[in-house]
Amino acid sequence: MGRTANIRATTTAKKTAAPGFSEAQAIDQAKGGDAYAFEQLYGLHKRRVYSLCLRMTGNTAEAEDLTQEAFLQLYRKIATFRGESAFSTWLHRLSVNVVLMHLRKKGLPEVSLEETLEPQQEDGPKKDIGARDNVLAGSIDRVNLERAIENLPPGYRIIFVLHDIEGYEHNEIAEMMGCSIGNSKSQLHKARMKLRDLLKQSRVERAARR
Amino acid sequence: MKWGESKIMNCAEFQKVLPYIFETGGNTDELEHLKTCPICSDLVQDLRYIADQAKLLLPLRDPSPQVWDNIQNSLEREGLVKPQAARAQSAGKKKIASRE
Repeated sequence: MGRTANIRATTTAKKTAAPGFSEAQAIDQAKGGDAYAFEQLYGLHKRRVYSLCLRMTGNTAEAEDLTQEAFLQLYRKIATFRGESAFSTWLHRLSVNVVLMHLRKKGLPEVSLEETLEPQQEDGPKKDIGARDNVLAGSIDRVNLERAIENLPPGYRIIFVLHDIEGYEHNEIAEMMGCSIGNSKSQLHKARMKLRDLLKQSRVERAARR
Repeated sequence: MKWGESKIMNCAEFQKVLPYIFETGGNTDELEHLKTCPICSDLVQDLRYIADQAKLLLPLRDPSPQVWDNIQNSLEREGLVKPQAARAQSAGKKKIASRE
């Protein structure tokens, strides 16, 4: 797991479950099949797991189904958690795998990024040569950025969410997605370029409405 | 061009290698182009800004309560937890936790 992802995961891991019930205790007891301890773990991690699923799929119903599947897998596999990484890191990797498996089954996108995630030419980022525009800095807020991410083509969105939001490194993404590191880098760059287009477009639309 | 001689880069060449410039920081020619070209400089600034803003995004919201109900029902159906015992145990512990 990448450095950034670890830092974010550790922050979550410091949370406590119910009063007088730490996350470590909840994990230990859930390993023994304690339903209440498992419920505490669900309470601690449901928001991040759901957000990950929602950002990766861009669909509320799918995200809920995948959150459910991720926690069911957690219940079945928690006994194999050895504490080599933070629990939240482990759970998030498990959740990412659940989402990727689902997307593969749907055929969107397939395992090989090289073939299936490559968007059509007209869908790709436009070359920005010879045109100067105002920079984005200071002009986008969280809502606009979330909306633009939602509008990314699925292949771009997945790489962008995994790398720039969740903090995974290219080698980890390549391993999870079954593509080359170079391809992960290239898709991320195209995703950011596409986001830039979308954000500039939304800025123009907002200005026109005023 | 002789070895060591600096080459003047154009925007197309710069933007072609841009993904690698983010990784490596760029070589002398690339940095020189960046310093003198406002278009590529704006582009790099925007892409960095997008990546920085993305890091600040927080988890969105909780799933609906239905998700937990479905999880509980599935666990019970699969026989991984006992229906009555699990709910009673959960309710009992909630009472203890709220007293603490």
